[in-house]
Amino acid sequence: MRWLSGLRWLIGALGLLVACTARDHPYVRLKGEGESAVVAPERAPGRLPLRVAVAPVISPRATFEIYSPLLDYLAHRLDRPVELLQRPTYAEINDLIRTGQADVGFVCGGAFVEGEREGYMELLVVPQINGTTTYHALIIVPADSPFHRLEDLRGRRFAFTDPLSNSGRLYVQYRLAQMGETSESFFQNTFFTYSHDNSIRAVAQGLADGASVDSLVYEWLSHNEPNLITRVRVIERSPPFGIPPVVVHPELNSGLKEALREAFLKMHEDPRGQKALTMLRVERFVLPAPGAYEDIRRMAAKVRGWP
Amino acid sequence: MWPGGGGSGQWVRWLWRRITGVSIRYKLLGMVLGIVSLLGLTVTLQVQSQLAGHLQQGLEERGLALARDLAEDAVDLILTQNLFGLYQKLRNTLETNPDVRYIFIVNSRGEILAHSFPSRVPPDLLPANPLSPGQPWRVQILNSDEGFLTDVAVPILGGRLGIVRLGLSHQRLRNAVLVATSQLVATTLLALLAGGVTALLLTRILSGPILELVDAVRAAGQGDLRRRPPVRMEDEIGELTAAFNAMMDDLIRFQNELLRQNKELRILNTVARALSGARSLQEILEVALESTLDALGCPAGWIVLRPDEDPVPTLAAQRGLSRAFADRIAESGISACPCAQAILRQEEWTRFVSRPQCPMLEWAQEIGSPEAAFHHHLSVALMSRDRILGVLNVMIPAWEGVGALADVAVAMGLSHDETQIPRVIQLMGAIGRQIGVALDAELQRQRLMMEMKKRETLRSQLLDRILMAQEEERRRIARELHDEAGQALTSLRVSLGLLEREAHQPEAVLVRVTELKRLVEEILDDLHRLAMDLRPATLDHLGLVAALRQYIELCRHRYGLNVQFEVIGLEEERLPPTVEIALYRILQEALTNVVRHAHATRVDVLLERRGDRVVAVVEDNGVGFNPEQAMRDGRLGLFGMRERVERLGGTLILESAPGSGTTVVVEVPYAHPDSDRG
Repeated sequence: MRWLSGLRWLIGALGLLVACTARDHPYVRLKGEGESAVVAPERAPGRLPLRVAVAPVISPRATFEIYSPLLDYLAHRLDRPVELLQRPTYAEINDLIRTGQADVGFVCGGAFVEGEREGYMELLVVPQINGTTTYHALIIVPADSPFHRLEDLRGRRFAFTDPLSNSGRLYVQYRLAQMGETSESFFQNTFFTYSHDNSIRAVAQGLADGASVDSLVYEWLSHNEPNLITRVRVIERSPPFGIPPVVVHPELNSGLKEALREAFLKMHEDPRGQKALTMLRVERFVLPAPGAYEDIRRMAAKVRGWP
Repeated sequence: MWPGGGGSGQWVRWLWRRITGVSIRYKLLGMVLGIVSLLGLTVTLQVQSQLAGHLQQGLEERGLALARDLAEDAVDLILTQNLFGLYQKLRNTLETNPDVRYIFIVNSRGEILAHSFPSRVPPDLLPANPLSPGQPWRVQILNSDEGFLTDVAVPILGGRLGIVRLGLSHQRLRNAVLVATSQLVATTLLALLAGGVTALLLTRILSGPILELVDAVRAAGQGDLRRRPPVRMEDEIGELTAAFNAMMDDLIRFQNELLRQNKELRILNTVARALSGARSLQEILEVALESTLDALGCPAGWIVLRPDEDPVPTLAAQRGLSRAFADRIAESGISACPCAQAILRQEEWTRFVSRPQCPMLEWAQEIGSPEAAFHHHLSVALMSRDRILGVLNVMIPAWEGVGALADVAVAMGLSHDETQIPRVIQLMGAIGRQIGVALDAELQRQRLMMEMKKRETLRSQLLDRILMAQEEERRRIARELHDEAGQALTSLRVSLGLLEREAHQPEAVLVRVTELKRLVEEILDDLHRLAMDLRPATLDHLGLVAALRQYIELCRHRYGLNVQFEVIGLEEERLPPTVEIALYRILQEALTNVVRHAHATRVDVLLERRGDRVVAVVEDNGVGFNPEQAMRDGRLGLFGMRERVERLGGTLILESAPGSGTTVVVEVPYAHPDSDRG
């Protein structure tokens, strides 16, 4: 009777196979016509969100991480949803402010002087870091680079951060202009990295022979990514410039403007705010000193040919 | 054919019978095809399931990798609200990965940021693969109107920015499995074909010899033992075939042996049956010769007989011989034929001779008698109990040497084979012994008959003598009565007459009376002696020993014989009357013989009991005689003694020679064998 058990075995094996294929899986209709899918459901009812635009000083992901507690604080403080808006370039951030698509902006000094000149930006508050509201532009080269001065970088590749960046471009342009050069004439090749950490990475990886970066970002990275910083070397440190400010459109609802200023200025008194400040590595927000951005304005005027 | 029902067990048995009933060719074919198809099916199923598993796993891993890449890349695009960039990314991924059926990205609020569908995302799809918070990824197999899909969900930035959903179609996977399966099936079919052809060839090679063997066995069953299937291979079947062939050879040999033994037995039986019918010696000889010659198919033969110790053998029977030849044998006895002579001298039991070795055959050729046609003869001893009673001679009509005997073998129905010749001689020896036994029995019978006749004669002589002895005894008694008692009584009557006359003379009367008394006493003495001779009363009253003493005393007294009588172990005992009277008469006869013939001066008589036997010895120093001669001459006294002893179951030994005395020893059982009767 061995053949009988063999047959039974065979039937069992076939049955197992059928069972395997016929296991229940959720059924979906890929070609379902008629019924419309909700592509973007309506927003939850409630107040309009406060839109916070952040210039790409650092990568969008890092920005998202660093600014999330701030957004939470503002949402709590203002009792309304807060939305983070990021764009790849400073110009686009400026556009968001200009066109009213964003209510508050964290921008670079270089971008601010541009917006201020165009009349769609005004200062709200400035962050105070290490007891001061200034920062520097740092010109860096790879750690093993033979160069020690900006002048040594003639005919080399150079990484700019953003067209509107002060520390990332304007300062170098101004220095070259002082030397009677332009970036095109001085460097063999230049390119934009659209964030300071990208510029540092570009130099560290040898994609560029030099770059100009924000000292705040540099410090933040030397704290967060020391391995990266050891691969670069600072060859020039600029005079102090006005720190990247928090700006609003001049025609923003004054109540909101005040509420915002209040919220920023009192942030260090609030536990949630302290958390946000810690994340931002900012001691507190303060009102800007008059003339704090004069140097930048002057440089921009020279470089950009303003009257 | 089909079973009429009655349970699955019966059905299975029926099926089993059908399966086991088919020829070995189909069994082997079925086995090979079954194994190949089972193997093919198993391998196909296994490969199918493993391949499907591997491909499925690969698909999942690929989908997961793509979705992770997308989730990574989507972070910046979402954060910078670059939806078009997101869409381009999706399109790019979709176009470079043919397995990807769809991709869409949902933000943390459930809004679809981008998708790859032509118009909109199917509503079923959104909730199909729910990702719980903190879960790194999730894979869900979906069934759809386009077949199976593997849906991968990967969170973007820990789910804070949303989820990437990527669907992979199983179409290519299924196709790959299908192709592999069909290739395996094709391979299996090819293997089945090859296996079938191989199995057919193999069964042809394997079953061919078996079928040949079966045919041979069948033929053997129908009596054809000559069929020998060839041994084609050195395997078990080859061994079986070789064993079968060897067995058939043995079978034929045994059969031939049996047939031969049967024929020999038939020949022996024929001779024996013929012999059993024969009634006289001559008839036995005739029949033996005839049946032997018939059995051997030989035309001529003769028997030379030498019964008992007779030194001269005689031609006892002949057949098919010419008168001259027979006469020459009869006249010359065995001297003419040294062959028979050698056998009679017990030099050999059978002898096969050719003409140059046998003077008789030579002689036949010289005188041109018909026996010149025979070139050989076979002589066989007629034996019984190691005694050779005669010689059976058979003429063999052939030309050359041993071939002649082979012809005999053929005539006997044995195969024409020279190795059979010793068997023929052996058979002849057996026939010779059989005839010999028959002859011996006949001779014995004749001897017994003669003995019986002789005894009968002696018996009748004894009877005559007994009658004569009775007459003699009567005559003696009459004479003695007449001579002695009669004379004494006559004297008595005369004396009585004288007494009558002298009655008046008292002195004379007294003398006469005294004389009368003496006379009467003499008469009484005589009568006593007479009675004693006839049958001693002592024997009845006082027994054998007393009677013998009396008789011996009488012999001493009457014949002046010096007889010493000694009795050992029988003084107090009485023997059975028959034994007593027999011993008394035997001893009386022995003493009478001594008195009459021995002229002895001394006789010793001994009567002794030795165990359960009684021994009586009578020894004299007389003239003696030749006991055998005396017996042959029928001396009745001795014969009577022997008769008496044999009737008691005893023995009588007579030792005597002329001039050296005689000893008679009689030994009989203590109790007569017939004493119980009486």
